[in-house]
Amino acid sequence: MTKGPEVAGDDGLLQELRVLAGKVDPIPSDTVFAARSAFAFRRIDAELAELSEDSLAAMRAGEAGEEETERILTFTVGERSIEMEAMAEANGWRLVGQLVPPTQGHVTVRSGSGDHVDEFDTDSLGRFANSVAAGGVSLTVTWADGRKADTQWVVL
Amino acid sequence: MDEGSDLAALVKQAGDGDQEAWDDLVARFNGLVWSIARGHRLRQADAGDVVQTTWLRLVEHLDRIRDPERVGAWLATTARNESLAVIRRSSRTQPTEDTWLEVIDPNAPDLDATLISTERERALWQAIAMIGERCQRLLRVMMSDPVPSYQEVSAALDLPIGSIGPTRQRCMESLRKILPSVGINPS
Repeated sequence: MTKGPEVAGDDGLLQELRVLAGKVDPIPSDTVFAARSAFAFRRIDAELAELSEDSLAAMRAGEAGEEETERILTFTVGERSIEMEAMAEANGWRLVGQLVPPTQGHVTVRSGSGDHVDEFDTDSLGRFANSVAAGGVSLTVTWADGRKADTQWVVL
Repeated sequence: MDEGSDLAALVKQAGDGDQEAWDDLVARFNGLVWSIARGHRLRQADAGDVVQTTWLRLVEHLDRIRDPERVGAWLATTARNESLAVIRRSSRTQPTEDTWLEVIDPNAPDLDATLISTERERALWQAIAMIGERCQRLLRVMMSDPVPSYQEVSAALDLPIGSIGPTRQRCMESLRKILPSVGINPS
């Protein structure tokens, strides 16, 4: 199907706009870097613990205040879950978490562009606490029976 | 080999741990993801977050994408959802500076030698700011590089594929009608 002259003219004008957008509204280089660096979060021998509950998502649009100071998240993998309460601090967030069922596990917290890593064991009841800067966060949990899961990346 | 099977191969290779394949996917679709975020009138920082989150979603789902040949549309849908999530999360009013429409200041003198806007460029951008919001979003998405497929545009805007062509034509017509008022003679 051949295009009429008007549509062909549209193509030309749109291409002109495309070139212009590339010049005046390009992707910032640090955003390109972040996109490439996302590959570092590839799961290796770990399942994905998806976000099953989020207090922020449960709010209707417009209900969220200027800044939310508390957020409750639950990640689920099979019959296990990781519950987390995030409380705003001066430079980021304080995470207080609980593995469900309550058993001990090993936790790795990745934040920033994945370059900031904290690693620790929970207590015997699966509880833990950690501080992270504002931005994205993902936890890797390894249980005593060897099962391993990465929580989906969430921006706090 | 058509692009669909190229993309499916890249998705598989990335899933097997190939960083280069991943970088190829980023090079191919980052423009689209950015355009979708900016098209939703997000400021640069928020659009950057959408880009990062969208790629993180892909990394999480590399092993479970049903149609890897259509990873472009998958990314477009994800970018759209993340953009809407940002809008929901932010406070009541949306900023009116630092959106993509404000990047060219029609009143600024040509002080920056590396970003000199010709009169025509300024006028074009001014004209876009005067059309309807839905057309603005459509055009910003269609301005992404490389040229997005109608499937990707459909996913980006949640519009039926069959309506993209006619909507594009209507929006371009709206734009053309405004051009004389900003000093551009229709060519």
